[in-house]
Amino acid sequence: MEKKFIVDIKSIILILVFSSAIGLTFNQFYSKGILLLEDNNKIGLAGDDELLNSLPADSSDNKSDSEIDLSVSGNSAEKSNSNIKLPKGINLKQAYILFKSDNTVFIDARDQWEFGDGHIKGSINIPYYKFDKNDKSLQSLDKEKTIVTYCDGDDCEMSTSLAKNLLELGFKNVFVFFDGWETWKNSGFPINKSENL
Amino acid sequence: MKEIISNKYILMLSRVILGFIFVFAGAEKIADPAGFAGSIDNYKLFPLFLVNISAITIPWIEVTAGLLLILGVTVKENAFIISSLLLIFIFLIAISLLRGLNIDCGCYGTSSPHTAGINKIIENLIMLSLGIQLIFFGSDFLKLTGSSK
Repeated sequence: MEKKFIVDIKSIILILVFSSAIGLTFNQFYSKGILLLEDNNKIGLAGDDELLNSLPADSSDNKSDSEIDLSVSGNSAEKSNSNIKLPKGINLKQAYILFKSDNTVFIDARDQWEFGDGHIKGSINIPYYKFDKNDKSLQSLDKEKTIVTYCDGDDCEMSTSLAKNLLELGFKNVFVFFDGWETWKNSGFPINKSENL
Repeated sequence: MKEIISNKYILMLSRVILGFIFVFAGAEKIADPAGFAGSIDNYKLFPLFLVNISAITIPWIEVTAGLLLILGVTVKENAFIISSLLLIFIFLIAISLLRGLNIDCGCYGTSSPHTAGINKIIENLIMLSLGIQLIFFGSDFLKLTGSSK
């Protein structure tokens, strides 16, 4: 048989096809297999009960608890992934409830310039793309506190990624405020700007 | 120089080393496909479907090619497959560096974090050189031959 190339193309194709077939078959039966058309790392939403668990027991804002929209339910239909602990997402109302608690720290995942232009009042800045687990401000943060990460809004994933990193570092209660800075600002909730950077 | 590169013991070493690296790397990713899918997604270069399909098939291609390399079966072809994968990885890491992304490369699965940086590119280039060596010279020393000819 005449070999035109240095390698036998047919063998290459066979290897690729058969290994892919094995992979797809394996994925069907493997308990940690993934779905082809879904974002398997999509995180679920926090139910209000999960929120209340992370508020300190002597929270003085008992009145606002009754305003909680109980129709927000947690999504427990996540494929289990034991290697990555997943944070839960929260909406604006839930974010504000946590905001009023002393036990919550908001973390802005955007870069320092966006943070300086405007951020949620009292939040600290830990830019996701420069995330360093040995960062001093990170180490001084109490791991028992409730953390809420955020970035620009719906399109931005840094808040989710940052939240996952924090969970890995041992923070107990980490939530992702999906609607982010834009929504918070437009709602007229308390913000800060840094005058000098 | 050519005598060294085409020396049958050196070739066998290259083949076995490359094979084991890829069997190990592939196995780690097979164990945690969602994690590997997440690593691919971090590069922000591919649509979801492609990400998922790659997360399912690439690890098995790595393991199969690696295993066949170790056994000395169709060495040049498997070296070609692995070299192609390495080229793609180098390219992806280079793009990410240029875009300023600070991400885990996902090279050995989610349990061992390695940053997608210059070191990783150099590592991959070294492996690529082994692959190219094997494509050109093959490796017949200590391989499966079977009884049919």
